[in-house]
Amino acid sequence: MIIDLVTMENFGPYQGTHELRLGLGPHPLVVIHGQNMAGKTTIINAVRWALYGVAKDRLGKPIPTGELINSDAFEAGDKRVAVSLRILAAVDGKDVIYTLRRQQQLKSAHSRGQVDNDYDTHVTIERDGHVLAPVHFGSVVTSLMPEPISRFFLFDGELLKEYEDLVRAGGEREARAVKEAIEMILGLPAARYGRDDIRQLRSETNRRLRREASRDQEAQAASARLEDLAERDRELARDREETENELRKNRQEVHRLEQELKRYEESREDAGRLEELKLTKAAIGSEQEQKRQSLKELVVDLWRDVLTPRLAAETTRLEAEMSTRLNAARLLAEARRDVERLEASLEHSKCSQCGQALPHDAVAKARTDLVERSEEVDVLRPRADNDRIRELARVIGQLRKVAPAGKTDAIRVVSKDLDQLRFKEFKTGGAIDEITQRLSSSDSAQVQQYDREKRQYEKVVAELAAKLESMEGQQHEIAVETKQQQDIVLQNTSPVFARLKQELALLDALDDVFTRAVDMLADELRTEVEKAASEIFRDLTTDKTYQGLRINENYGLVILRDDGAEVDQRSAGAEQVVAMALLGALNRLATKRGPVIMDTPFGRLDRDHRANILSFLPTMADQVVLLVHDGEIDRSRDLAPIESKISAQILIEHESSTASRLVLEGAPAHA
Amino acid sequence: MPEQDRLVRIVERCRTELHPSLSADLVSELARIQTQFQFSGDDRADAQKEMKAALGAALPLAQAEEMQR
Repeated sequence: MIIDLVTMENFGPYQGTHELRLGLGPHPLVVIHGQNMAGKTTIINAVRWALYGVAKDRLGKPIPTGELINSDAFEAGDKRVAVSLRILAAVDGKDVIYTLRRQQQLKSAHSRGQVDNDYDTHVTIERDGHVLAPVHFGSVVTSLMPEPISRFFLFDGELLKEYEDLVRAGGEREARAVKEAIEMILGLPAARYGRDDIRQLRSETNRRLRREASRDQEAQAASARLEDLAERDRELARDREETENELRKNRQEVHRLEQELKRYEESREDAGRLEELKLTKAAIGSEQEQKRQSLKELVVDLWRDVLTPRLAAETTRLEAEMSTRLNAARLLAEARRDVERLEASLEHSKCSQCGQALPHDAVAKARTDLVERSEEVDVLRPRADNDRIRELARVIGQLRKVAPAGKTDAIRVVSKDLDQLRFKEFKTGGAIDEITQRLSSSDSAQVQQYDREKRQYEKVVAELAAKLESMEGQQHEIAVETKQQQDIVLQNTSPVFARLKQELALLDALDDVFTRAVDMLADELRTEVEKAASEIFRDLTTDKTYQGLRINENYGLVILRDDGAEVDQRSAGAEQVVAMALLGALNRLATKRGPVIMDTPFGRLDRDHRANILSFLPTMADQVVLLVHDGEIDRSRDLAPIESKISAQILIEHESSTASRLVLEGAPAHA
Repeated sequence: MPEQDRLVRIVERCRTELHPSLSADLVSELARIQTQFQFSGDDRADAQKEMKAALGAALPLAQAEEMQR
């Protein structure tokens, strides 16, 4: 199954219609970039809401429709929210295109829209362009991706916490739902359904046995007793179902309250951490101010560095002109001296140097030379312009005084420091926002109330569990006596009883087989999950002294050292790597394949683990959509090694809390 | 489907260990039905109907008819 297109209408910060094309290319990975609060989690929620009608907040609680709908659209009169998904799937070996759409619209213009009952829900479904009856919506969604296993595909921070509870020793109780979902994705229900259906059929055969026995005089006493036992068993079964439901609800309440209290404990720790973070942020701010001041000082002389290449070129040009002009001045002086000498010789008709009389032909030659040299003087005079030479000397002297400042490298270093400080400030600010939000949702009176409620629910849970145990005992006694009475009835050798005896024997044998198969399948699947998770873990971890992972019956995983010893203490990053290994193993062994959409999965990972997981993600499923912010991924450094696995990168442009849009990189906005 | 093969293999192993005289074809067929219906999105009653049909085929005719009723 591939999600080809998500169309959101007035969903969260996406006002109007926004299309998100995910089936963009042959590679498995699509990366969506967006800052915190930009609308990344909204995308995972849009898919979840379209399929199951539920969107969750960061604490895992359902978000009411009134909060899902874009508030600007609502105020402008467009009082509906809708998401449609175009899904490519293989059904019975054929490629099929489903289009599923869910819309909620305010029932009446007078409603305030604050409760879900104020909205009408409409679902539509098409298969290969043909409209199906809305009644098929649920069964098609279940066939594509049953809701309990969707947690392995729509993977957000909350789920990671559930996984961590699961892999943490003693955390099994909190992660009961995850364990059930794991068994579902691995295909364990098939064996359980087989066992339960066989037991159901056996009940029907027993009913026929009682009916036949009531008609038989010899068996009437046993028949009456069997009816009585069956009635008691039915009553107990009904009571037991109700009690189990009650127990489940009460356990969920205990779990919910434990989570609330845990958050409060975290928030108390947070309060201390918040102060530290605020101090850190202030220190970062002050360091930034110092760096900015240094930068300002450095920039004062930066013009020299900027102009240096042009000044050097100009100086060279002027020096060349100077050299040419000085050469001309030298030649001019020589020519002038020659002219003076020749004029003197011709004036006295004798050599100006030796004083001898000039012969006739020498006089003629001197005249010719004089003309030539005089012409040279005329040519050289403007070239040897003394004013220009003085001007050149002055300008060259000035230019030479403007030396490079050598500030460029220093400015580069300070700018880099400032970038790093801005990044630190961004991360610290994000952590402060998160903690502030957590702190705002907890107060001590509320906590005491939670604690009281939790103790009450725990008391009820204990009572219900004891009641269930007693019921199980009674049902066992009924089963034993029923068997005894049935044996009495089946002593009858008439053909009717012989056939029923044969049928019951067959169903008993099948019950044995499927009951054993449930345990055997669970054991085999656990072993395979352990093997696959260990392989993936070894690839993901940077600590090569780890041998792998060991699984327990609740699918909790512990890290093993190379000597086989268990690692007791695990960092938050290690927890995340173990959870990712489990997730990878489940996707490898799953009976259902689907797209994986991950929201901000790199929060607590160092660079090397992040690189390992990024390399692993494209192998995890046929389609992996990664929602990330700049604080957890450096685009040029982290994504470059897996560039060939990325089909598209999409940017969420965030203008305000009610206005985000999607931009495909390298293409115009397609919102 | 690999998961179908897996369940068929496991129930066959359990059959051999626990009730070797039980029909191997019947046990495999029941495993296949359950695997096929686990994510079908259809009502579980459909799976039970198929189970009854498979069991009916393994029983004498009169008994099968009784069971189907």
